[in-house]
Amino acid sequence: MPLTAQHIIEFNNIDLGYPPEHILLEKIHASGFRGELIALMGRNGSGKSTLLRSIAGLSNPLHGDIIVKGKPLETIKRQALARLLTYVGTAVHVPENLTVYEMVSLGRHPFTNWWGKLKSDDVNAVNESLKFVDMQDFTQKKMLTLSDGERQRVLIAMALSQDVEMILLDEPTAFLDIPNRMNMIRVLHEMSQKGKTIIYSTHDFDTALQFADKIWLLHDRKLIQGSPEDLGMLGHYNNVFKDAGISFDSKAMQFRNVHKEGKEIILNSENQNVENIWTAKMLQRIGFHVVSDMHVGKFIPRIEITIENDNYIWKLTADGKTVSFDSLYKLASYLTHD
Amino acid sequence: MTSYSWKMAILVCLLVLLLILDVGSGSVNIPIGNIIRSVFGSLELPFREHIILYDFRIPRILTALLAGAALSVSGLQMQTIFRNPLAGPYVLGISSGASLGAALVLIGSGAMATGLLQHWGIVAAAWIGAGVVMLILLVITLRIQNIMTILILGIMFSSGLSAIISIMQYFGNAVALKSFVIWSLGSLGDVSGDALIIMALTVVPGLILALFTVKSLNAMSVGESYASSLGVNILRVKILVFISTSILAGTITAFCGPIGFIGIAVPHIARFYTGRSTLRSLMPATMLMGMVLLLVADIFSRIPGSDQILPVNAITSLIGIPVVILVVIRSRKMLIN
Repeated sequence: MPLTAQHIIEFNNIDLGYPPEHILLEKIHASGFRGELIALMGRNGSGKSTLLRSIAGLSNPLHGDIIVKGKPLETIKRQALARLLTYVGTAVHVPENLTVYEMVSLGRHPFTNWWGKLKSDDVNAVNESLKFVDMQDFTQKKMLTLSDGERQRVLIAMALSQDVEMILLDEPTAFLDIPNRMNMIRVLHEMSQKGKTIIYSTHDFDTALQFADKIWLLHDRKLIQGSPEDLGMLGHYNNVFKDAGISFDSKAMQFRNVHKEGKEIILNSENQNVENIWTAKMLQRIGFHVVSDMHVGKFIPRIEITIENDNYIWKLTADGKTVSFDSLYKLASYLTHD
Repeated sequence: MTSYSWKMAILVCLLVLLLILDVGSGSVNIPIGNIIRSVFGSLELPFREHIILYDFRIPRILTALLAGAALSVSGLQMQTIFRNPLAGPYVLGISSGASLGAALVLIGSGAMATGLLQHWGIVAAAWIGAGVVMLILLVITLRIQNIMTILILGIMFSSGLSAIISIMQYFGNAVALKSFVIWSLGSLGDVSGDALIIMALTVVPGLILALFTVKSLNAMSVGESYASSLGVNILRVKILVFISTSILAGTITAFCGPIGFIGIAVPHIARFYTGRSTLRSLMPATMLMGMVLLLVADIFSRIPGSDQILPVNAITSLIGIPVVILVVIRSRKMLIN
């Protein structure tokens, strides 16, 4: 983070919410620099969209001035703001017949004449934006024929062609499968490396932890900001979901259901072979507490994994008898119905 | 030439063809050659034919061209701003507002206003009626975001106004009633001379204003918040569109009576014909298509070889209704995410 650089976006003691009195976020402080990829996270209804919309000038803070490039947002004219930042929300309407190229050219709106005719500069910007998101072969395709992932990439290209310094995206990875989601965040990351400030809301901790420079975490009317790791170390992820029975597993870097203390079971070894990891995961899922071999209690059931004829075999020993299984599914059904 | 340019060129040719066909058809047969030579000043027509041509046919055709363009453009603007394929001046109650105005003058005044006073009274009242409805719709639009709600309110509005008109008709005297019924059938043939000039002087600025909203409407067609972050002043565009639509739909309804379904159907025909949906392509196509369609309706309304003229409102409805039905059946999910 360039400590001497000027903030592109700054929140100082801002209240956000719905007028007149419904406060979603209270006295928040946050900042963003040029080239930062900022993931905006928090539970449903925590105020993510409201925060993004307020930066875009679409809704006003209840109290305080949002500062964009050193100036209060309110004092920036709409046309001037359109050269500084853009916002792509969740409800984008696609008219029938609209092509990918036409959709992306909408981003050139602030630069074209009264009739909206594209000049060569505009055409170049549109083509480059499409190329950036790898959609250059789709220019004449109709928007309504695209998949969710492709459509989302076109929306990014549209924002990109506007040639602004800051791009605000409301849930750009919603409805995307894992490869598309990863690809989307990679594109956002590349854009931020080229100097754009990107603020996107998401529920996807996984990609945010891997790519975001900063996380703005909304919880309990507050905004907590820091690197993904800062927030993790300070236990903030746990706080957000603690009343929902979910905890953040810092080792696995993922959220887990908090299981009630279950029956104990021994897994034959502590080594981290694939079969052990998946078996332990299954046991945890169905509510067992895996204990190590060391503190053997006589009546604790145990599982041993062996390989016979290239197939895994799970042997469960409990109450003096041993049963064999050839899949985790069968083992799980046996254990849950026992 | 792109396929779009070809399609537009074909549309222009079709328009010219229909113009010739329309000007040449009527109960009195005037050879097309003579008409063209007369228009270009190289032939003096007999007095009777001259009157028919310059006092009846040409004003009627000019009225059809203006009305076709104006109603279609107002429909396109409303469909874009409400992001709803079923919006149009008729559905949203603008024509009903105009009708109520006309009814107030024709039925309400009894037989007091006659002649010139009555003619201009109807025009003014219809115009005010359309304007008031548009104003109410504008106020509602600024307060309620849900497009479906606005559409339903418009339809309710329209039905409510029709109900008031029915009550007025029930109590109106027979002569006034007949003139109102004739007005409500719609006619392209009643506008000529000064009236035509005034109509043109009102409609043409309305069309020009519509052209100036094209760029912003284009941006708004994908959603207001995105348009706003492109620098579009949503409120200003909405007000401009409402002014332009009131001028266009209000003026035409005032002078010609209600002409249904042109506003709602033509933008869809233009979309289907050009395969485009950006307003920059659709606006010119919609204008031309509206002119073409109303000329067709005008030709159909005059049964060849007969003095009878069918009400143009009925013809346009018969053309427009199947289009609307097709749109409803075909309409797909247009929201993404």
